[in-house]
Amino acid sequence: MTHAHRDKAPPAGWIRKQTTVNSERYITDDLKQLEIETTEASEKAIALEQQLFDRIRTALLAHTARFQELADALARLDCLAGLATLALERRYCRPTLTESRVLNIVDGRHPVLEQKLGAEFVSNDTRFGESDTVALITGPNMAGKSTYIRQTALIVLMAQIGSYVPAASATIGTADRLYARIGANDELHAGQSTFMVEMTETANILNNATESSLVILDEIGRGTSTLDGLSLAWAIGEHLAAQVRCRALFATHYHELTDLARQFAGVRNLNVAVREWNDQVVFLHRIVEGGTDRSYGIHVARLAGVPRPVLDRARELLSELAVHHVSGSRPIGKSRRPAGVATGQIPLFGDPARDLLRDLAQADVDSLSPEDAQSLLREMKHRYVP
Amino acid sequence: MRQYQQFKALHPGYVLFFRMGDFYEMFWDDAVLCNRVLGVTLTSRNKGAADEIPMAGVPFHAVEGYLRKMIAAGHKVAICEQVEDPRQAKGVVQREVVRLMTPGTLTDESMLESSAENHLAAVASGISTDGFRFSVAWVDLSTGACIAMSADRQAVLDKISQLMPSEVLIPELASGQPHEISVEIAALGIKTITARPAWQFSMHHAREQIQKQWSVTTAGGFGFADDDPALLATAAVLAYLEETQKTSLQHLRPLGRHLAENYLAIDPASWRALEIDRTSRWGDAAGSLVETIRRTRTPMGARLLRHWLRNPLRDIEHLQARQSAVAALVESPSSLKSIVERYTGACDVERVVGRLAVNRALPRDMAALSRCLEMLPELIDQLGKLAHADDVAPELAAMRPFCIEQCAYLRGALKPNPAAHLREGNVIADGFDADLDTLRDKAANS
Repeated sequence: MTHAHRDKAPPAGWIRKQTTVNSERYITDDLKQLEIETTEASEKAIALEQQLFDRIRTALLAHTARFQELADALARLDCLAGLATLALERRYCRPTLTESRVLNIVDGRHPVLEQKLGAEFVSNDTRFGESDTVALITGPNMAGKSTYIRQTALIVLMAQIGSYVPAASATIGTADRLYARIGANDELHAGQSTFMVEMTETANILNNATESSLVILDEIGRGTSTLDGLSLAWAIGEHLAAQVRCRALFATHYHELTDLARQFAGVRNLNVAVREWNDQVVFLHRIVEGGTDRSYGIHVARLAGVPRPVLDRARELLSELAVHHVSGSRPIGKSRRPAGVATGQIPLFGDPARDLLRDLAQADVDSLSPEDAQSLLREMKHRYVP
Repeated sequence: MRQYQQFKALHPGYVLFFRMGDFYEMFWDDAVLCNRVLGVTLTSRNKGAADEIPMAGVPFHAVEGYLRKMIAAGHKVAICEQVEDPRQAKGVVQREVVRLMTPGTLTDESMLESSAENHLAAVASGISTDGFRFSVAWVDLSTGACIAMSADRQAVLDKISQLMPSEVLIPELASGQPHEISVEIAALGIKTITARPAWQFSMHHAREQIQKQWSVTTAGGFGFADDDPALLATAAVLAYLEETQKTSLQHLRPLGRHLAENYLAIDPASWRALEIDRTSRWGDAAGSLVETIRRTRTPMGARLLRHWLRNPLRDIEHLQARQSAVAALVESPSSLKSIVERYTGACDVERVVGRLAVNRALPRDMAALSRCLEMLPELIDQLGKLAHADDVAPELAAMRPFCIEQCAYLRGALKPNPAAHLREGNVIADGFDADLDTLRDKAANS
């Protein structure tokens, strides 16, 4: 009712409800009743919807097992189609699976790194015959040893989920256990030294691996002193080759281990192809048959930014070492031997120069912070350069 | 406050979110914990008085986010609501704990990572014909998966390390102390370890629980010997779910027996070293094998791929069946593309069923299921065109009529875009129920 009509009395039954600027608002009992009914109806509707929802829920749940079958079928299809898409996209091959111990991967690639590096990634073969046991891969760090042994493990794993694999062709004797013991782990175990962790994991492998297992070992023994480390690595390689007789890829920079191949028929030596050019070393990332007899640790040290004087001294020691090896008499590093360090006690691998080279080669450059690198260098200098 | 303490005492080990008007309030240690975990302000009730009580609160409309944080930090939360209208209450408003939330028993979409499973596990030990054995059972309540195994202590710990359950139940010793294996489990990085009464890990209890859940008198049908300690762990999981969910668990799958010798074994150290599900340097999923090779389009497929990687097979026949399916799809790249297109966007059927079962489903879950069922017949037809269709998904073809039937039912029952919550109405389709139509007419014609 607008204010223009304000002097008129409202009809009987009108109850004033609200006054606004221009009008008065009234409500009648009928309208009031209708409002109550409307509100009630929508409240009731919502309550009923809840009941109906529950009824629908119960009706669907009567088919719980069918819906789960459907979910399983979709999950499986999605998974398989995903593997097919991947196989087409990355040019994977269908591996031939056998129950033998044969492993024959031609042009294998690392499934993760290949996607990261693209065309730069260098493929490699992996071959194990029925009676092959340990393959030793020697060569400097950063040359692709770790990538190579990991890719073999991952290819076998992928084959054993039913996937195609990143290779040109592959025959895979399925494994019962897969072990990977890789370098000094970055993770910190409370109260356990790195070396203790490394040895615990290695013990697990030596105790549980079988002839059908696949074992990859990367730089076992680097968590302790050189002499200990080499001895352990040797003994572990021997045990795998003679007792366990599993397929093992053993990456190491202890060149001495290449001698294992002479003692055990199933052991083979592989190394990383390297091209030297003007005192520079080019890693080809290609794995080839045969052992290596030189460490490229000094080169790696240079790449890591170890100062020139230390590198020069290392070269000097290395050439002395070479002479020493030839003559077999003169103790190396004689000119500036640190006081208190005994010499010539262990002619095979006790030389500080080789220790230095080994320590350099062992330094996991990728994971060193600048501070760590500095303290490592300080420690080396303290140990080897008086 | 007495009411608060009463509920608090009923739910030891839970942080109590106590509804007071527009807020959930926490008191005493809970308040201090929430201040630390959620960053909410710590205040106090009866400030300055001798009986000053530390207090913290979160507004009710934002509670989801706070709950997510609490659970992610490994805590368990009991939600206590006002169950009568405060205006009509005489004296203290009546309240009830309506929900127990624990990291291992989540089903809500917003709380879960879609591509990963969420496991609740229990560890037990017992003497069987094989001698003294440890056991572990694990359930994903959101999907209904339910598996158990018995083995030696180390193998059980290895399994836990691989599964990384959100929550592990362990028996309480007679001394009231948790079983000493909890120390080793905690060392694996498990945040929530819940001690449960020892009787829940007993054989008598196991028989009872297993009969109740699967209506069987013996677990022999699932491949377990009657004295297998795996059943003890299973019983403990079932009892915990019963207590926390207060609903039927009809979506739990038949109990599966994990037989280690069927699978390529990978110990935890090797698993980490190979960076299969996370990188060792950063601990991220990005850069891991699974994330690099994953081309799945549904959460179900993503979870299955993880499951396959965790359980690589040794049986060549099974592997060749998978290879043949991949081969059939690889041979026809164009069909592969249209097949993938047909199911891209399919809803997480498995978890929707899980939420329906524990009564946590939202209207949108049903709507998504309906849309998913609608596209399946076309997918099935597309699959049928493959040269080796039987190698790929033979079980799907048989489900075509079921999909059509259920889809028709849901389309008749639900509005195409239902409201987010039931309390808003507008969920059920017109024409589904005559009474509802009448009420809606009344409500609209004013």
